Amino acid sequence: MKNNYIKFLSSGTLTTIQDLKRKGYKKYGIPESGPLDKKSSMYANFLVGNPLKNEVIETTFKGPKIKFYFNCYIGITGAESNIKVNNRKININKTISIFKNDILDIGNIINGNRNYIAVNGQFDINPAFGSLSTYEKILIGGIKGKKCKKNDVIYINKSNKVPFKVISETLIKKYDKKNYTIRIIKGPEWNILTKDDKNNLLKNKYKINSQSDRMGIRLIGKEMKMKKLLDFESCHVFRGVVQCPKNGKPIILMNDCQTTGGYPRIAIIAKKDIDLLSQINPNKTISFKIITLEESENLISYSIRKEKKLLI
Amino acid sequence: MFEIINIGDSFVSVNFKEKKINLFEISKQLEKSNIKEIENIVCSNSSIGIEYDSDRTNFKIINDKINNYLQSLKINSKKKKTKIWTIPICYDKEFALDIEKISQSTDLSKSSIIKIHLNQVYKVNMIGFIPGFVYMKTLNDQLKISRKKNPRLTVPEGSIGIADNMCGIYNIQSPGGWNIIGRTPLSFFSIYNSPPIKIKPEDEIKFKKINKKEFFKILYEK
Repeated sequence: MKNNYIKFLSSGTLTTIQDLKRKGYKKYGIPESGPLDKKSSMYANFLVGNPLKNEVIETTFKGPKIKFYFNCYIGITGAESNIKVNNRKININKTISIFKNDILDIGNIINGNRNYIAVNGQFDINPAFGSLSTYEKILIGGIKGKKCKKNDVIYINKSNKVPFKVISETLIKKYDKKNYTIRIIKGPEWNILTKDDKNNLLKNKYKINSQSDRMGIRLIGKEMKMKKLLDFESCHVFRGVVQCPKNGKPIILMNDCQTTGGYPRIAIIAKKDIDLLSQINPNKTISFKIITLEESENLISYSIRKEKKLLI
Repeated sequence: MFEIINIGDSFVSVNFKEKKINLFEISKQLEKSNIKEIENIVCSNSSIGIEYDSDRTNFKIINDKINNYLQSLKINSKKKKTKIWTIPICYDKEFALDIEKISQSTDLSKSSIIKIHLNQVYKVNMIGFIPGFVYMKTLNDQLKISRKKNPRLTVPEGSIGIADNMCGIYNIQSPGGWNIIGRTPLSFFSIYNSPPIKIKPEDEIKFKKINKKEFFKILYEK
């Protein structure tokens, strides 16, 4: 154990530790955080035989260089990037054997935004509020509550040898399209939009603003005029809510978002499409399509059934 | 008495029409309900927000479960004893970052603003937005003021702000758009405490005016 560790030789653009375990703390205003692309993070854990909600390293745009000081297995999923082990290009979405002194280099992104790296075993880090997810605002999770930086070290409680696995092609998303259709369910304040607004939202393409972050994805496109708003009281918001501030520019809230918000919730992204949304590069476009709750639930159960068959 | 509506495919809002109900008590009961698919319960103004794992259930099923559970509860509007907090506040210009603006917008002198603000007993509405932020009602109508057009990039920890008909405490440093009227030297949020904040919805808050000297004394002694 003493020698089972990894070290960051470089940090990458924004590299954090995330898991899917921070539940039940929103009542104190503490967000769930966790991987923005939840499925990719679960698949990375699948590849190394870990429980699917375990911690992963989430990279953003250019990834880090990581040196391994022990033999282990890793799973990498997510964006299409230039990824190398000891300077040799490797394919992702399959179990990878790593040997002592290997250097993993998550290079530049080609399509998508984020990669997920899981190691067989658990990171030896104390959880905060049930989770290792990094949330810098109150310095919890990750390494001392911060994003990973050069020379950071993570010790690993290694698990046993794992059988080699691959993620089936049909589960892997491609991020190379110019425009994506994102499905939405009407939000509680949908009718604050004027007829023109609704038309504009559904007929036009929106660009992803490069200022988007783990709190929210900002959209550039036709602005919403909205009917005159009376005082709008703060209300529940969460990952996937499309809220529209007074400036008319919609924001899609993501994992680190506030727990209550004072803007109209014009729509909610269908759960099936939130992971995809987190991988769409800035400057690509999205268009919205309305579906019903039942349709969205069918999409969820279809993908769960598919995973049950393919993730074995 | 209540209705359950879905917001998207993984969240329901339980809305109560009856104003006298102690929502926080109900949300605490819901936490004990053992409905396994529930991931978060957040109490707000007039509703309880419930986030659920839609990979394991759907709206119809969770709606039935929550509905049955709430029906089985004896919801009485009788008040439990509420906790009352007395929070020291310093209105010195060093801390009351927006008092000039509040004065201009309300046409009240600074001393009247302070008097009106101190005169009220506030009820905690919800905790949220950012970690440990306390929403309180009801601000005296004379102090009613809308949020700042351009939110501040950093509001210092302990700042107390007003917006619309509410008063709020920033227990951590954060960006924010409320009009800052003063600051408390006490901090009510810590990641090392469990729970991280002890102030809870339905508690009552009174403010006690302190001067700058007292502010720093309390700050250094805490």
